[in-house]
Amino acid sequence: MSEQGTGRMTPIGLHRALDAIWRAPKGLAAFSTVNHSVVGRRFIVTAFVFFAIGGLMAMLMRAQLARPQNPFLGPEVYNQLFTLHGTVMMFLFAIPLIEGVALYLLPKLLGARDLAYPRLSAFGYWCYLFGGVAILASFVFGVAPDGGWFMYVPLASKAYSPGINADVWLLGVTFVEVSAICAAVEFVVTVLKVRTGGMALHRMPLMAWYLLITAAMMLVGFPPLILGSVLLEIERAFGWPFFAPDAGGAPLLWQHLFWLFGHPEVYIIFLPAAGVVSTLIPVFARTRIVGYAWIVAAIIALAFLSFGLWVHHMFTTGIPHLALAFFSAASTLVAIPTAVQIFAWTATLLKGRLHLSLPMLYLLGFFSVFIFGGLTGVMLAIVPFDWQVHDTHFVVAHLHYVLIGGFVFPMLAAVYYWLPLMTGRLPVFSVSRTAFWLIFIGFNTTFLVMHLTGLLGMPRRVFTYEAGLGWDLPNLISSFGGFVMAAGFAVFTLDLVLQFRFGRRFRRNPWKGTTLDWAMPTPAPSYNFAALPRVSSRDPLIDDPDLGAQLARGEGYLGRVRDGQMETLGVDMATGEPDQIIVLPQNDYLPILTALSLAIFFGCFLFGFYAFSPVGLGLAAVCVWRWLWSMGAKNDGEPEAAGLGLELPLYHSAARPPVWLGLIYFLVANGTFFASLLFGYLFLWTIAPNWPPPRMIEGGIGLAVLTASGLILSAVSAGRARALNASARPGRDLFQALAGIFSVLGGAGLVAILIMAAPPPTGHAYGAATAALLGYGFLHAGVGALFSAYAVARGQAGFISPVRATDARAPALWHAYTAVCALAGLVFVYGLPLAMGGGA
Amino acid sequence: MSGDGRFSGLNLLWLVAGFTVWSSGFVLLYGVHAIGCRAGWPGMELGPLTVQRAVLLAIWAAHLAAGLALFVPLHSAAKRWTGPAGDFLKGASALVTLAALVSTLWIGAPVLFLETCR
Amino acid sequence: MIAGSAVILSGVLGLIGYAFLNRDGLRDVPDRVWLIGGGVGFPMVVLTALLAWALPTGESMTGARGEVYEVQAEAYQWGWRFSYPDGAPGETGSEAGVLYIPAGEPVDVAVTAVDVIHAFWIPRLAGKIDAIPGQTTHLRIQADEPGEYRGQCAEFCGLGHAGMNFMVVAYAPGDTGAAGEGDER
Repeated sequence: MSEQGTGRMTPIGLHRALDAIWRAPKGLAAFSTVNHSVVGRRFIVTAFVFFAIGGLMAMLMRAQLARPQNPFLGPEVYNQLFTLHGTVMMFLFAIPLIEGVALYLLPKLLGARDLAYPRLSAFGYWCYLFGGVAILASFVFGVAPDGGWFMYVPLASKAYSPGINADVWLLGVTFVEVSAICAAVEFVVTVLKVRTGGMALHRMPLMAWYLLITAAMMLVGFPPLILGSVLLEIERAFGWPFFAPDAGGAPLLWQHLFWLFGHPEVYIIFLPAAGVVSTLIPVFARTRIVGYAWIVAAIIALAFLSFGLWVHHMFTTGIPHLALAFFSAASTLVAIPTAVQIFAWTATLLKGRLHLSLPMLYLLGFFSVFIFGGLTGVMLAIVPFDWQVHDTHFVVAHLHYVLIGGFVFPMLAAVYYWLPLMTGRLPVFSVSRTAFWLIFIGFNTTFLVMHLTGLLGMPRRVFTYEAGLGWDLPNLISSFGGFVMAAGFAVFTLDLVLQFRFGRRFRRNPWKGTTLDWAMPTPAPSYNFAALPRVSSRDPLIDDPDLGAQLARGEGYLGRVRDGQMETLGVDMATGEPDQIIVLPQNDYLPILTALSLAIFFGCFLFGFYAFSPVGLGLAAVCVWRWLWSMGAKNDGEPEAAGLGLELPLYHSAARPPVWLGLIYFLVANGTFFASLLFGYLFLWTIAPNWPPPRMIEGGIGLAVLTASGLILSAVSAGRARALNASARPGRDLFQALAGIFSVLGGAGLVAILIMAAPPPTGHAYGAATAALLGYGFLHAGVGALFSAYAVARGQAGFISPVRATDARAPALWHAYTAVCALAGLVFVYGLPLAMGGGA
Repeated sequence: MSGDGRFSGLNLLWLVAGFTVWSSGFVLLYGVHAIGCRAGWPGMELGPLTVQRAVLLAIWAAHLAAGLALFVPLHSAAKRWTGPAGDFLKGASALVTLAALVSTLWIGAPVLFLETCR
Repeated sequence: MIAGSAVILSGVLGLIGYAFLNRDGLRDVPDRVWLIGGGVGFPMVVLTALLAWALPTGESMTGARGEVYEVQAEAYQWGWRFSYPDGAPGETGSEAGVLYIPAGEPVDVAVTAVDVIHAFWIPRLAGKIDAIPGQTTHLRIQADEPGEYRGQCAEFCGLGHAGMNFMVVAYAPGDTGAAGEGDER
C-alpha cells in the first residue's frame, strides 16, 4: 500500500483503509493491543470491577458495625477489610479510572489518533492488572494486608507484622505505581506535544489542562511513596532499620513520605473530576466557560499548594505548633483556588440557558456533596479542631464527602456523557434517575450522620464498640444508608447493561458538545479522526458544527493512508503549529512481556526468593532494549506531505521527538525520588532517636574522589559523543563506549566505598541510609553503562545521524543526571559527619 | 500562518516559576524551623528577637522579595509573547505569580506572632 | 463554625438553584465579580478570621513544660501503663489501665509507646496525641469536675486496637485517699 490519500477516496473507503491498520486484533493477539481506546476501556472496566469489590468490602464492614459487639466479623478479617477497602479504592479504582478516562479521551480531545507512547500505556495496564490481582488474591488466601492503607510503621515492620501481608501491600502497590508513573509521563508528553494543528495553549480544552497538571502532580507525588515502600520492603527483607527506633530509625519518616504522596493524591483524584465538571457545565448551559485563564491559574496553584498540606495528617504527632501553623495556613489556602473554580462554574451556569439532563443531575450531586466536604475540610485544617476529631469517624465522613462528592459523582456524570461515544447509544432515562437518587440519598444517609458519630468520640478502624456510648443508633443509620447506596450502584450497573442492549441510536454529538471528541462518528472509530482538523478556537464544533463530516471525508491533516503506517501530528508546545509527523508503533507483545518480567521480579521478592529476583529485572532489561530498538530509522528521509499544504519531518528526524521529552519527564520523577531520599537522610540525622550511630564512615576519601571523577568523566565523554555526532565528526561511538566504561568504574567505586568504608547497613539506620544513597548511585551507573552500550550498538547499526540524534543525546543526559546525584550522595555521606559534628 | 507568534515551549515554565519560589520558602521554613528547635535557637537572643525567629523571618522576607522580583524578568519575557497564545500566557502567568506571592505572605505570617517551638 | 458552613453551603447551592430557573437577573453580573469577589475575596476574609482565632487558640492549648503536674503514660499492645511523680496518688507501674489526675487543674501527660504507634485520647477532656516509640510527646488535659472519664487508643495499632481503652479518675484536690486505692509512694 502506498499513497492512497492523494487520489480522492470516499469517506467509506477512507474509513476501511484506516480501520484496517488501526483495528484491534481479536483472539490471543488481543494481548498485543496497544490502541488507546482499547487500553483505556480495559483500564475503565477493570477499575469499576475493583470498585465493586471495594464496595462489597465496605458493605461487610457496615454490616459488622450496624450493632455494638456484633459477632459477625473478628478483628483479623475486619482489619484486612478496611485496609483493602482503602487500598483498592485509592490505588486500584480512583487512580486507574483517571488513567483509563485520560487514555480514552485525551487523543480525542486533542485531535490526535493516539497517545505519544501507545505501548507504554499497554505496559501500564498489565502492571496494574497483575499488581491489583495479587493484592486481591491475598485476601482469598487470608493473608491480605492488615495494617491500614497507610501502613504505619512500626506496626507494618517485620517485628509486628511477621507475615507476608505487609509485603503484599508494599510490592503490589509499587507494581501498580509503575503504571501510574508511566501514565504520568505519557499524559504530560501527549498534552504538550501530540495535539492537532492550531491547538495553541489557549485553545486546549480545559480537560487537557486538568489532565496535564494532574499528570505533572503524579510525576512528583508518587515517587515519595515508592521510595517509602522500597525502603520498608528492604527493611522487612534484609533488616536495614530505616524505621526501627531502637536502631536509629524514625517511624515518623514513613509518615512524612506517605503523606507527602498521600495528600497530593487527593487532588490528583479531584482535578480530573473537576475537569469533567468544567467540560460538561458549558455544554449543558449552552454557553462558553467563564474565566478560562483563571481556571488554569487555579489548577496550577492548587497543584502546588496541595504539596504543602501533608503534615495536616500528622497534627497529633507532637510536632511544634508553629510548624503545624504553616501547614494549617496552607491547608486553608487551598480553599481559594477551589472557590475560584466553583464560582467560575456557578457564573457559567448563571449566564447560560440550563436544562437538567442526566449528566447534569450527577453534577448537582457533586456540587452539594463536594462543597459540604470542602467545608468540613476547612474545619479539619484548624489545628485545635483537628486534635479533637482526628482519627474519628468525623474524618471518615469528611473524606467520603470529598472523594465520593468530588470524584465519584463527576465520574458517573462522565460515564453518562461519554458512554454514547463508546456505544453509539443513549441512556434509558427512568432507570438512570432511579440509580442517581438511590446513590445520592444512600450516600447522605450513610455519611451525614457519621460526622456526629465522630463528634461523639468514636475512633476509626475499630471492629466493634461497646453499647451505651451513644454510637448505636448513628451506626445503624449509616449501615442502612450504605446498603441503599449499594443498591443504587447495582441499578447503575443494570442501567449500563440496558444502555448497551437497548439504548436509542443516534448519529453524531447528542449533547451538542463543543470539543473535538464529538467531531467523530459514533461509536468512535479505532483511528478517531479520518483527518486531523485545523482548529482556530477552543470550541471547534461551535465554529463549524459540520466539522465531523468534513474530517470523515479526509479534509484536514494526514487524511490518507501512507505505507500502512499509523500517523499522527506532533506540534510546538506553545503555539500548536505542527512540527513533525509521529509514526506510532504497531501492536506488540513487548508490553505484556515486560510486565511479566517485572511480575517475576516482584513475585520472587514476595515469596523470599531474593536470589532469583534479578532474573526478572534482566528479562525486563532485554525487553526494554528490544522495545527501544524498534524505533527510529536508518536514514534521514525527506519531509513528508502532511495535508493542508504542509510538509513535515518524521519524528526521528525532528528536533524534539516525543521520546526525548519522555526521558526528561521520567528524570523529573526520578529526581523527586532522589530528593526524597536526601530528605529522609537528613530527617533521620536530625529527628530520629538513638543518634549518633556507634560508627560512621571511616576513610575511603581518596576512593570517593576517584569514584566521583569516574562518573564525571563518564558524563563528559557522553557529552562529547553527543557533540561529535551533532557536528558529524568521527569518534562518536568511541566516546560513547568510554562513557560506558567510566560508568562501570564509577559504579564499582561506589560499591567499594560501601564495603570498605561504611558501617554495615543492618546495624543502624545510619548505615542503612548511607547504603541506600550509594546504592542509588550504583544502580544509575549500571543503567548508564547499558544505555551507552545501547547507543554504541545503535550507532554501529546506522540509526544515529546528526539529524536522528536522540540516541546520542539521551545517554548524555542520563550520565549527567547520574553524576549529579552520585556527587550529591557522596557530599552527604562525607560532608554531613563533618558539618553536624557527629549528630545533633 | 495563523498570526500566532512563535515562542519556545520553555516559556511555559513561567506558569510554575512563582510557585517554585513558594515551594522553596515553604520547605525552608518548615525544615529550618525543625532544625532550629533541635539546636536550641529559641534560647539565643539576637537583639530584640531570638535567633530562631530572626532566621525564620529572614527566610520569609527573602522569599517574599524573590516572589516580587520575579515580576521583572516575567515582564521582559512577556514582551516576546505575541499573538493570542501569547496573550493567554501573559494573563495566566501574571495571575499565578501573584497568587504565589500572596500564598508566601500567607503561610509565613504565623512567624510574626506565634511562639516558635512550643 | 458549623453554622457558618451551613450558611456558605446554602448560599452557593442557592445560586446554582437560581441558575436553573433560567432567569435573567444575574446574567449581566460581570465575570470578574464572581471570580474575584466570590472566588478570592470572600474565602480570604473568612479564612483570615478563622486562622486569626484558631492559631493563638491552638498555641494556648500547648503550655510550656514543667509548669504543671505531669504524669507519664506508656502505651503497649494493647493497654496503657501510667506512672506519677513521687508521692502523688496513683498506682505507679500499674497495668490496671486507670489514670488518676487531680480535678480542676491542668495536667501534662508525657506519652510514649514501647512497640507500635498508639494515640492517647480522652474525648471529653482534650484532643489527642500520638504515642510514638522512641519519642515522648506531651498533651495538656484538664478535668473541671471530679469523676470518671473514658479514654481510648485513637491510632490503629493492630488486633487489640478496638479494646484498648482506659479509665481516667479525676479526684477532688486534696482528696487523695479516694483515688489512691493502691500504694502511695
